[in-house]
Amino acid sequence: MNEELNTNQTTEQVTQPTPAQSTVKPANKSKKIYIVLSIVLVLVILGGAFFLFSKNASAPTTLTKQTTQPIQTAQAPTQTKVTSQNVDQTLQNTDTTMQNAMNQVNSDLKDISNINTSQDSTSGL
Amino acid sequence: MKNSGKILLITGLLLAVGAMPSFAQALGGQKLLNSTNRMEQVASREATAQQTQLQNVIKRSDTLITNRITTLNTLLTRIQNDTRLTAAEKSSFTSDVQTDISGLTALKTKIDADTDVTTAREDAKTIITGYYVYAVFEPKVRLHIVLNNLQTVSTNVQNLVPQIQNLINSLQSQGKDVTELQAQLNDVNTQLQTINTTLAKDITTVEGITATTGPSSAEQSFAKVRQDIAQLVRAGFAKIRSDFAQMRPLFNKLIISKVTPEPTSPTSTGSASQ
Repeated sequence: MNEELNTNQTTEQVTQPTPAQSTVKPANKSKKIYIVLSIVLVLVILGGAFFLFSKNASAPTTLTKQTTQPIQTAQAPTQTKVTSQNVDQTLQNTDTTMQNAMNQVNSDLKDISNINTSQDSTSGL
Repeated sequence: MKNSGKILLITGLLLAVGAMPSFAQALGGQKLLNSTNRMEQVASREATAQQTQLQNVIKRSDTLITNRITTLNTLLTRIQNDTRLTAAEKSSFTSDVQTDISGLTALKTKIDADTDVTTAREDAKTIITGYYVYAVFEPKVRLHIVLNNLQTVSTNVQNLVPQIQNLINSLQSQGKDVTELQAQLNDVNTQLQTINTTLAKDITTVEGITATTGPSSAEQSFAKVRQDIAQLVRAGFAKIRSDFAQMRPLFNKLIISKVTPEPTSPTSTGSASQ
């Protein structure tokens, strides 16, 4: 009989929470809410961090346009630093350098064309 | 009388017969002697001719070698006086030229000591086929110098590009219109890419040519390299010069110009004092 009472009580506990247990239930509910909120908060923080770093990673897209210039290989340092004050003179000097080089090239090519290659004939030897 | 006549005839015949061997012997020996003398003379003339030929071959070989060494020394002067070659490039070219000079000098010593015409002629041919100074070596070195010089110029221009780009960026950050400038600089880069690619390819071609390549194949390769220099490289540098010529007034204009007129404050004229 006692067992039946206990059973009935248990059943009543399942179907209709007792007033004494009703205060425990809200506490558990609050705890769950706090847990959920914490998880949501962590997710928000992680998401923000993700977007923040991914944004930094994609930031150079604006620089890509400028870096479409050919990649400069390591060369000897330039002798003249180009500034707004000397850019005109620098370009002029570089033009003169190119002109002189082309003149030398023309002279060298002329020398090459004047080589008498028939001197390397073995006929008569 | 008849008997004495017969006796005389017989005696004469006997004497004649007896003398014939002597005559025969005298005549045959002389022929042999003459033949021997003639053979000796022929041999002597042949030996003299051979010796003359040998000396001619040696003399001609010496001339061939001297001319080549003179050419190579002229080439050395060209190398040493160059203002665009790096020290390493000068050293490499100089070493190649001096190797040929040493080889030809040693060959001259050998030829001068040759004792038969056949060997001397073979050695003389080696002056040509072992070096091909005019058909291969000299044009190869001179073309290589040209290509290296052009590389130096290209490198100098290439080093300017990022600095010019920085200046353009700076002007752009000031709000100035750098569209035209950027277009010119982009073209400079394009030309440099073509120039550098062409030069690298042609240098590889020239470096691979040796005396064993042979004059005909070498000439074909040299012709292609000269064509590249004329059509691609020289044209490329001409375009770069044109780009620079257009950039100069653009820079001057942008550097002097202001972006927007500075706003004048209504209180700046002293009305604030009122």
